[in-house]
Amino acid sequence: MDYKIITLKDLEGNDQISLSGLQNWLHPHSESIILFWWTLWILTLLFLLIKFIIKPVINNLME
Amino acid sequence: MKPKQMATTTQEDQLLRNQIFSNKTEQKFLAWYRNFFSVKEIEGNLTLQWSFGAILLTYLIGFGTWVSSTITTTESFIKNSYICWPHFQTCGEYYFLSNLPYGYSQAAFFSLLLGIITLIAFLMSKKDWVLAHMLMLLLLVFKITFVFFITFGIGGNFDYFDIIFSIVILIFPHKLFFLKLSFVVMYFLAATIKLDDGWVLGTYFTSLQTGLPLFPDNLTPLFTNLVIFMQIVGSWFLLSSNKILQRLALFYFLCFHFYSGIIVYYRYLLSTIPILLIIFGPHYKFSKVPLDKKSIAGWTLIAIMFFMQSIPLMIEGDHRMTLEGNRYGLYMFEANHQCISNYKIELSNGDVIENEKQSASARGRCDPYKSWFKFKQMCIRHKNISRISWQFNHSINGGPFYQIVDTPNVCELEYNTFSHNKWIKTSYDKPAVIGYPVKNIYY
Repeated sequence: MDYKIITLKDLEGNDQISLSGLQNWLHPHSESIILFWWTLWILTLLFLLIKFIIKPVINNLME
Repeated sequence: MKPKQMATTTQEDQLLRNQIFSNKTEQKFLAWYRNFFSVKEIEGNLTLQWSFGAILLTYLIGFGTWVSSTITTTESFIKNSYICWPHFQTCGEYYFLSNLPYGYSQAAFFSLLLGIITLIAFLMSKKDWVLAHMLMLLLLVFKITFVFFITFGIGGNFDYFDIIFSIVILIFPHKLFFLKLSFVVMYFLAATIKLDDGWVLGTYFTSLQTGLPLFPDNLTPLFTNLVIFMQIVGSWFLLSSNKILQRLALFYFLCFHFYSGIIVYYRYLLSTIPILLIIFGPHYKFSKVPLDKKSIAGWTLIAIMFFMQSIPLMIEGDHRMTLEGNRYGLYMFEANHQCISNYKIELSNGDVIENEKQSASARGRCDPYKSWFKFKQMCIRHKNISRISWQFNHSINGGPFYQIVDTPNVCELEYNTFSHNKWIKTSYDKPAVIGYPVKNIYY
């Protein structure tokens, strides 16, 4: 595989990019981790919406 | 009249607004204004008064940096060194100020704004919140116009913070609740731009030559994932009625902001830390969620914030790479960028001008739109240009340089604001990999 390094102006002498130990370990699972965070984000939003807005509004309407 | 009532009436009479605007119509208007913008809430709440001052400080700092800028001057329009928002591409036609070395009008204009800021501070000290509010509203209108219409080149995410907090404190009822909620929602929305390899693996920081400040590369993913967790879940505890959890969340976010100052310096911190301390600090009181008719405006703003943040996500392709719709929501630290732009201008007399521009700074956004805008202006202004061929190569978070633009003639291209531009390649188009970057720097 052709692995051409492109060094932009002002970056001469900088290191090549590589993953560290923990990053290498996480890398195969990164898609699952991203999915986990999105799920948590949506669940948090739903929980807050239901607890603090939807339920009180419904309760008010029922009264 | 009872003594207490008499004292209040005398205090009211002494207010500057009642001395300047004393006739009946003016008084009627002031009463309507005070009621319409719920200024009474500010008058009766010390936390809101301090917040008002903290927001005023952000105007001072913001204008202090804009005053020396030249990108909104008539000269910038003439020299084609300006940049308009995609939704208002003719902004430069409205520039009328000059800055040194060409003139003084911009500096004079900003001196006037400084005068208004000083006057607001004076009115605040005199507790004339109606007049202070009126003048701050004027500054807000200017700031929104400047950041979202006059130039694409000056507004940062800290300006978005300032604008949202200003709208809440100036316009809506239930000011304190929505100030607190909008602050937390900002964190919550900021999490969405971190949900990719750049933050999940921490490659945003490990592809910096200097790495993440104070943390070794090996621990970077722990730090970045903690930030994501705290922005998704931990931020809501700032609103908690549980004092311990609330204080722990406050302590974490204070540490986070002071730590981030190592990279972003003072500007972002001054938009966040003072208000964070004022509304969630020692004077924090749990607020019940308002669900009355008066709260509709505040909830609408919160919904708009969510909608704006979703714009880049709704456009086809990875917005970190294409930058399409990216600036309509929070975008700070969404990716570490490097790019190379090669272009060839062919003139009608057969001459050819070739050039290459590079951006190595992690925070430089490498937005193809910005290059397109410059080229497009050149095509419109210089009739002797027969065509401009252009290649744009973009790397994010230390990944490969992808050739996301390769066009024989930019002059024929248009830019869609809210939908994907086919001439910008996404992963579906399998753009060519032209090479791999080395570590860059954040500056």
